[in-house]
Amino acid sequence: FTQLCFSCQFSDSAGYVGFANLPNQVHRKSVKKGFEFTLMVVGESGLGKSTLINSLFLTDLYPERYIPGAAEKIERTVQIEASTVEIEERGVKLRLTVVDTPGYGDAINSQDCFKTIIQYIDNQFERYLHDESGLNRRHIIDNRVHCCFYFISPFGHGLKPLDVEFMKALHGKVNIVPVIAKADTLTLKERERLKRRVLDEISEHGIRIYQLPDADSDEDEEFKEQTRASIPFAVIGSNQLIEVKGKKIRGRLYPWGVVEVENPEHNDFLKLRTMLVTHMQDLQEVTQDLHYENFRSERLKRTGK
Amino acid sequence: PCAGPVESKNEAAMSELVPEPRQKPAVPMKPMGINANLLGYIGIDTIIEQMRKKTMKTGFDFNIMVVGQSGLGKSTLVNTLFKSQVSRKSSGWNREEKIPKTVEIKAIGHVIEEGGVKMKLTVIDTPGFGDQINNENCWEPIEKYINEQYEKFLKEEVNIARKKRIPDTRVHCCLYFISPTGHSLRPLDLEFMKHLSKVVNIIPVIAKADTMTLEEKTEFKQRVRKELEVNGIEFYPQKEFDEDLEDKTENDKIRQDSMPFAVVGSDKEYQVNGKRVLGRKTPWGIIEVENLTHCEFALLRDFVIRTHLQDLKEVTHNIHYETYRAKRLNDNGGLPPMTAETEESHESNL
Repeated sequence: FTQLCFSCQFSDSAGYVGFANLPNQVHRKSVKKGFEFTLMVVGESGLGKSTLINSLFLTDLYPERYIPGAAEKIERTVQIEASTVEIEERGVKLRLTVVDTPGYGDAINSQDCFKTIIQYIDNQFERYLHDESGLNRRHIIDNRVHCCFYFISPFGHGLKPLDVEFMKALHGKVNIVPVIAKADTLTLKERERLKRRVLDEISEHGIRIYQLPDADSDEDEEFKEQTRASIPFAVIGSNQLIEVKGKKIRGRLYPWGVVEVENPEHNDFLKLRTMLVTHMQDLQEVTQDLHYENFRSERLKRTGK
Repeated sequence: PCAGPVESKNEAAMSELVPEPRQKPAVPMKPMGINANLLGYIGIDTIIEQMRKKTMKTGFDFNIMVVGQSGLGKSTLVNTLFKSQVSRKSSGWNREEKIPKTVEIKAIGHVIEEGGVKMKLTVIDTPGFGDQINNENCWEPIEKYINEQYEKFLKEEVNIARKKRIPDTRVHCCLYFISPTGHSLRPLDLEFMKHLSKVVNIIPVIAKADTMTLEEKTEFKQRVRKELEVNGIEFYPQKEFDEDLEDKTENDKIRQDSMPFAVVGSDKEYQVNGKRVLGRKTPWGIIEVENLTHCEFALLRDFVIRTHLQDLKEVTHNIHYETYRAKRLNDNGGLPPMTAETEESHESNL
């Protein structure tokens, strides 16, 4: 191949061919098609998962929630519940599916509780593999889980054994983003300590959480670094609007003050949301190129001949 | 065959292990705040920017084939399209060189960059097409080449350990050069397009259009369009692949008014009205290649490069390639996945 490089002006001057317009052509088609994204949330009951999801996407994904009592929970096994919401912003359509896992960690003996989750993830891979190998591939639906928020309890001293087992079992199947829930139960110092503990334990056990790709030349290097340094994100969610200084904001009203969800000095909610929406494309890519391809080659090796 | 038993086993397994997830019906978004604007922006639309960045980073492949008799200006036209010497002009067959006995396929690649977007452009030339005395079946090597690229892609796709980005050598666009006789299409033109329009996107162009007056051009175009229609030749953009009304309206105009594009190519610049333009200098005037009143080159360029480049690739991938793939799967009763070791034993199957 020969390399011919042009330093080109963007006008219709001599030398301008016009294929620099390709990203716009791709963009136009994508906008028409819309996007799909599947987010899974895993964590014990009562860690604020549903509230956080509602806060993240400014919607009410769980309008009539029925919260079962302890006695009911004894018999329950882990359920998988998928809710889909269609969000449109500035002409871009996103079909977001949130996969909830009620019952996780509730049972007295939680030994098998993540098996159901693993099976769900594998089933989506299996379905996709089946569709991809089929004859008619025009309308393959991608229901694979692109990202998993794993909720860590703020009440402990770090990761619980269940947390470690879950993440070890799933880090090869899905992008794991650890999140410290109900961060308003911790002071800032306690938060830092907990974050450090969690990171140490993650590295100790060889757990591979989702890594943010390096910043591109035109991206804010510092911002990326700051975001990276905040993992695991310590977040707060809220379904309530409170009036603060004349503005209505999402928050939690305590006798000693108001915790503001979208205040970066109070918690990492904004960082988490920004990270998620600006990395949707990368999360999908890593799911496709790494997790799915691993699944696929394992499956094909097993049944190949 | 592999596909059969594996499928049914899995479906049974699937239904046992996990109860079907309870799918709640999709809900349209209801912003919770009274004033949606204040609390409203999530940032979903940044995904467009993410995709744009990805396209720019990875660059893209584009493979264009040119078919037509010697001397119709194919290489010059491609060079004009991409404003660089991506195709070597031949000066005809001299006494030492022999006209190739069969059609040759010559693929030459270049990497060109514009506005931060990198394109790996491959121009596939087909010297010898239509140049023999007996041109029967001279499209066969071309059809074979096109199918070989589909086969290459398919092999890579079914591999167990496959590349992240499968190199795409499939022909995205085939420019077919019609001689400007002013009368009608030649039988060879019809035969070629009939056979090949089923496997590749064909864009017919009337070459060396500066040999016709405006009236002759209009008449000839109409006649060619009629002939193509009567013979059931579906050139790109094919009617059946219009995705929505917007596409259909846009493409109808192109199909019924503009195509086939009557073009002139040139890599020489002349001064006209103080501007440097590409053109052909004759005693009776300068033919400006990019002047729409002189010829339709600019229309062809805008069509292929500026508006339909991505679509050409998508139709190739989603339609032509899938047709090839489906045929292969049906013929073989299912393609087994390939590893290096199984390659030899499966060679004969493929």
